Amino acid sequence: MDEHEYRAASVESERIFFHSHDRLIRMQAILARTWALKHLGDYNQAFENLRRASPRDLPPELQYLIHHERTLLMYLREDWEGVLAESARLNNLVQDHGWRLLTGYLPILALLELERWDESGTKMKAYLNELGVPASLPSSPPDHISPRKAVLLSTFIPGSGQIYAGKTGEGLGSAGLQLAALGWGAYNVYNGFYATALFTGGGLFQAFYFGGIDRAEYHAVGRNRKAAEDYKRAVTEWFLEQIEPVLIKKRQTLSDSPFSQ
Amino acid sequence: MSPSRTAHLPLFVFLLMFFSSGLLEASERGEIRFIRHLMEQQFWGDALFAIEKFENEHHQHLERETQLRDSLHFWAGWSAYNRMMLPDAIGRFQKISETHPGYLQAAFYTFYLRTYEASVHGDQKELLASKEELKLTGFSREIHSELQSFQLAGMNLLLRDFDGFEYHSGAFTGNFFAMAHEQDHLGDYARELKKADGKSPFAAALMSAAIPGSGKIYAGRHGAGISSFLQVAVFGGIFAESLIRAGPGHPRTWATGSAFGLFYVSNIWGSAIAVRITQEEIYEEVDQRILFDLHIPLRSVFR
Repeated sequence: MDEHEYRAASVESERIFFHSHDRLIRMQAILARTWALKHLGDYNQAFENLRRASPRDLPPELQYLIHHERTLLMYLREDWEGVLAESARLNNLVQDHGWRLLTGYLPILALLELERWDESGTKMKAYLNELGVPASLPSSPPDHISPRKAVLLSTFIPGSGQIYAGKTGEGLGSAGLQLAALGWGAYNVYNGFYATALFTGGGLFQAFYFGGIDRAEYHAVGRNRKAAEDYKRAVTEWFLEQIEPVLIKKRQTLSDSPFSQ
Repeated sequence: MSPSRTAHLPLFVFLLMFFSSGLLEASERGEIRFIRHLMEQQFWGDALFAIEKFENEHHQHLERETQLRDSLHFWAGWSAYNRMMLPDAIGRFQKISETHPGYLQAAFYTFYLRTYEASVHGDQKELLASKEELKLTGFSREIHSELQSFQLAGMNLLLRDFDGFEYHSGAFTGNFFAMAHEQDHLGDYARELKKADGKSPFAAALMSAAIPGSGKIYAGRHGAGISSFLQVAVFGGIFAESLIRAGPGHPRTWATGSAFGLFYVSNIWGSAIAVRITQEEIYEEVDQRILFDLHIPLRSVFR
């Protein structure tokens, strides 16, 4: 289906909602419009649309679908805390364990995004076990280096903070430049050119010294961020690869699958 | 066919036509109610889609129904405007005829959106054309004439035509709360623009030649001015030290003298450029505020 068809689906679903007086049909129309808007990539509008649906007193499969879509849209809108809250609500309200499993991967991915590594790892293993997928996690959570330690290192041993953050070349370069600036200052003092020593030697040294400290912190923070993003991406891709075929099969084989309604 | 049956044929055809036309109108009414529902819910994308579909399906009928056709243009224009599809909104609003109740609102929004688009894209010709068209438009109600003067004053400021601004702002009565604040703001913007406009790059260069950094301070960049002064002073000090201790013929003196000269000249050049850059920044910021203020009364007047 192309964009035009999804837009048409959204309009026609809203038309059903508008003209119908049957609450069940109206709720189904809201869900259908949510799916159309989701495919159009308009997650905010899809979420706002779904807020009009009240799951109360609806058949269990519709109740489940509304909570499932809410959880999924919160994930797509990168509202990680919202995913955890909504999936907890779903687990309380939906009795069917098979259905709950169909949404169970979303809070795990949200925990991963929140960088709650241990919790996400434990829940991921348990979830894979429940699905009957024999697998162990592809890698362990990234090591976190301390930006404060990098700053302290560069403060007392110029260049060492950058080396600690993984930028060996920059660290050695920074130390060399600071040494050269100090040397130039000392040479000028020795020859009696005090203003030159202060403003060129001293000026350059302070620029390289404080710049080196800032760079050490910048690299430490950047390294942590990159390592976390790489880990998240790798584990998410791996996890989805593991569960996708199983979930598709489960959706089809669950005799009362809400997705087949 | 028996005579009694053929006698009933015209009546049958009439009834068929009557009911079928009635059915068509009922379906049309239902569709219009649905489009209005989409608009009320602010489902702008869906509303645009439904309007275009309706127009395609009732093309011939709409040729006769001017009022309905105009309403559809108005709704489509409003939906496009809310989706920030401004050229589409302008196109739709411009198609509305004068007899439609939403004509005035559409006309004022058209002028505003044309002004906005022209200003954002730096199209002075279009801005001027829009201003001239608005000038020639007559309005019977006092509030609309006041809004016209307000928009024209704003357009003149965007065009940096201060005489035109004085002329139109002179017509402000101040009687309408919907735009009184924004009218005052335009006066402030005019003063700000005139102040920025009066600064000369040549004067800034001269000032920096006399006292390094003072041209940048004159341009409004106080931090940069002080920093430039210190840089030139430091290089001046180093050069003086070399001159005194090493003598005028020493390579060290030549090197530090060259560095000092380079900083001194670049500071003069930088001061002239600073006036231009600061002016551009002020223009850009004030233009944004003018466009914002031109928009507010439209929302209040056509609530």
